[in-house]
Amino acid sequence: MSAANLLPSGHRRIELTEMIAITKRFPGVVANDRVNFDVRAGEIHALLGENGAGKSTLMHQLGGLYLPDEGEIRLDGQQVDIRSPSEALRLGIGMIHQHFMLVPTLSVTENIALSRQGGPLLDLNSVRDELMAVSETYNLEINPDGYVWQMSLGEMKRLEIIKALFHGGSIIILDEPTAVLTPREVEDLFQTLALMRSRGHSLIFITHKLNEVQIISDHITVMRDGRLIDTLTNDDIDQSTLAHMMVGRELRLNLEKTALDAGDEKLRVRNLSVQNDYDLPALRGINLSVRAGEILGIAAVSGNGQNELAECIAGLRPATGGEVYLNGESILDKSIGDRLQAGLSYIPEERTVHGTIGTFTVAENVILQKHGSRRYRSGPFMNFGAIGEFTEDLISWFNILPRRKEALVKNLSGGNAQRVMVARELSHEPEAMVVERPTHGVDVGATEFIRELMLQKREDGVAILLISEDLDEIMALADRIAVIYEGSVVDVVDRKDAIADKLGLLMAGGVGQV
Amino acid sequence: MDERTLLDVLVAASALTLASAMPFLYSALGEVFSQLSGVFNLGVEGIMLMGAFVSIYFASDMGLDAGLLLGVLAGIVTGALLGLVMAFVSVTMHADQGISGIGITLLGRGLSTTLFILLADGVLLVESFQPVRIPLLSDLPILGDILFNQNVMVYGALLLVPLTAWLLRRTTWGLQIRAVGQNPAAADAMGVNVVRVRYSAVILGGAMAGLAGASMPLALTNVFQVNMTAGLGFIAVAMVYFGGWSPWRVMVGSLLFSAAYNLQIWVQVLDVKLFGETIPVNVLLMIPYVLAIIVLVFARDMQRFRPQAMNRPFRRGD
Repeated sequence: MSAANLLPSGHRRIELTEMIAITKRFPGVVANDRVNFDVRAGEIHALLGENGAGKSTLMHQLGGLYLPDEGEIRLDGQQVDIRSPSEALRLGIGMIHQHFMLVPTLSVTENIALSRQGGPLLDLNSVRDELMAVSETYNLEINPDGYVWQMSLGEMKRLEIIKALFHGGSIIILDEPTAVLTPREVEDLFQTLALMRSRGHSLIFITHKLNEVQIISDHITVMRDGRLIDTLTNDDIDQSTLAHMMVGRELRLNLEKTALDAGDEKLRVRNLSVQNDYDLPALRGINLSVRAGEILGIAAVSGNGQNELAECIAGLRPATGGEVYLNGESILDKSIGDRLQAGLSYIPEERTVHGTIGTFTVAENVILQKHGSRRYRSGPFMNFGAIGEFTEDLISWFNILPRRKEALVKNLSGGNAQRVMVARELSHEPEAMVVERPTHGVDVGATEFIRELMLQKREDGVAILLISEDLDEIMALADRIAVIYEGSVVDVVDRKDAIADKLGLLMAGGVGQV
Repeated sequence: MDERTLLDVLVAASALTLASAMPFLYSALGEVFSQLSGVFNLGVEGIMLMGAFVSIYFASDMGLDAGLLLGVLAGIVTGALLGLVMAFVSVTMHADQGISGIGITLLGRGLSTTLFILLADGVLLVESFQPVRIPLLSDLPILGDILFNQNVMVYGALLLVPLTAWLLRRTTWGLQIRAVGQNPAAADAMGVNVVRVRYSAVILGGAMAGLAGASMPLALTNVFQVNMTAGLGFIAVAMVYFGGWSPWRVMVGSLLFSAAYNLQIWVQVLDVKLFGETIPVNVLLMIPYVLAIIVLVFARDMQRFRPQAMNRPFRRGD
């Protein structure tokens, strides 16, 4: 075998990977319907589609998590049955999942050593040397003795890539790798991907973010409802064409925002200090103010106190100092129920943790805060007639699929579960809202819908505090932007004066003025 | 009491504390393997009782009269078999681990009692393991009498602490155990056979619980009594939490609880009075259990080390 067929790690390079007429069914759904897909060495191939389009399912078959029901997979022309993830690894296919596949209590070296089918005794030193060699070849900085639970999400993503490379991954599948990364980390990741491409790897990049597809990929395959829509070369395709293919209808990527004169101050945060889960200061005396008909965007990299801010205002976390006022009245001593009564609404980040109850139906979820109200009960009993009507109204208003109020929320797609939560929070006509990453992990259709709703609420005169790591989202929605870094407000700027690059720099702790 | 006798009492108390920490050590170290692999085995108590009965039944001349060593071996095999049952139910059948463990405890308690009455007419005595003085070391002042004048099963329990730590830290199998209990999907993707690793850890844990049971009649009390473990197996499970899944901290916990168990004996021997009254024995007997509750409240920091996949059956693709 000539050196040209080898990867820098010395493993064999796979020139052509083909998936031919792949069909995969799950009870009640055809997740992949005769899908063709191929990728070559030295190529970054983006797999684009909404949540539930079947992208991950297709790649899970290449990664050995399931076998296809029909169709076949060929590596350099040879048909293979990939029966397990470890078999995929042996064939040179490494999958980097959306959720981290790392053992947090083990060190970096131990995580890599796991797959070593060596003798009964661990030889961590040789694993460490080899992993450092990979880290140098691909310019991926890592501390081999660090523990995963101490690492940032960006470092963990790097470790996942090193892991795939270490095992000779010729084909590397990345399932939404940027979902948890900061803009800076995304840039680094893209540099790494370009380097891997130049070294002869085949890269498959699963995403639903149009701009990323345009920046990094050579070819783009679009999927919708389990079917292949088209495979294109990434030269002059515009985003709206891609979006149209992905969603099946026109999307308004640029939202119309009417100029509004903000009204009276609704929500005010004065000198607020809050601690995090480890009793360390998360917020160090911050001041913010949101007026009626205004969206104040909080731009911050995850873990800088914005989550604690939202939880404190909502009543989930006590303040250690300072005050929060709603309509001029202090709310810190009020219970969560009283805050709701006072007109505060909260859309939390973790919809599965704080937002919805998966094993409850849609109806039970939307009535959660209102089950005590006279309208929805008769004596001590729930009034299922009234609850059902209310739920059906919300389902059609918010276009929640499936249109069944008895559906369990855990069986809904991410976008629809998010709609259930947003529907519930908006249905009690709030005066002020705290909204955390409302479109995180949600498909484009739902994203558009939720953003439009927020703008509509803004026009209705609601004061909205929007927390997001997605700078594009903040730039699209906010009237003013406050940057928080390590628990302090670094700067507050008007949207029209804000420049994304400079905001990004401030979010990362850089100094300077926006 | 003069100084001499006080010292003697303290030395004797320490030696006894060490000896009675033995069943805790065997069972809790075994449970460390099981829990680290992701299987919360609440059946330890029942496995210990079965191990205790079977081992003394093999060893005693009122039973099969096969000798102490075969008795120990029978206890280990019994424990391993019950571990296999636990592994089958929780790993292969994906049953709820807490409930399966309670089932095994009830089975072990009931079966050991029934067999004890049926096979041995309710009496089993044995000539237990005798202390073995280690040459030279046992001549050390104070320490010699505490550490180096014990029976072989006590030495074995103490040696298991570094051995367990070494197995978990330095062997491929140990690494695999630690991985499948934290993130079985990740381990699976790396080619680790999650089912096999969990089976091996749970069976080893069961064997060690059986050994813990055997150590009670054969190296501590000379007799079998109905329900002689009296909740000790459950405290061993709690001790694994207290010890944050570390063999060394589990040893500290074992010694602490053993000391609490023995406290009541010495309070009676020394006739300690509280407010001029003799302390009722029943109150003293409560000490280790109360301690267990208090310790668990303060051991919440150990949650950081908790195997995240404990209690969660593994299915690929979930």
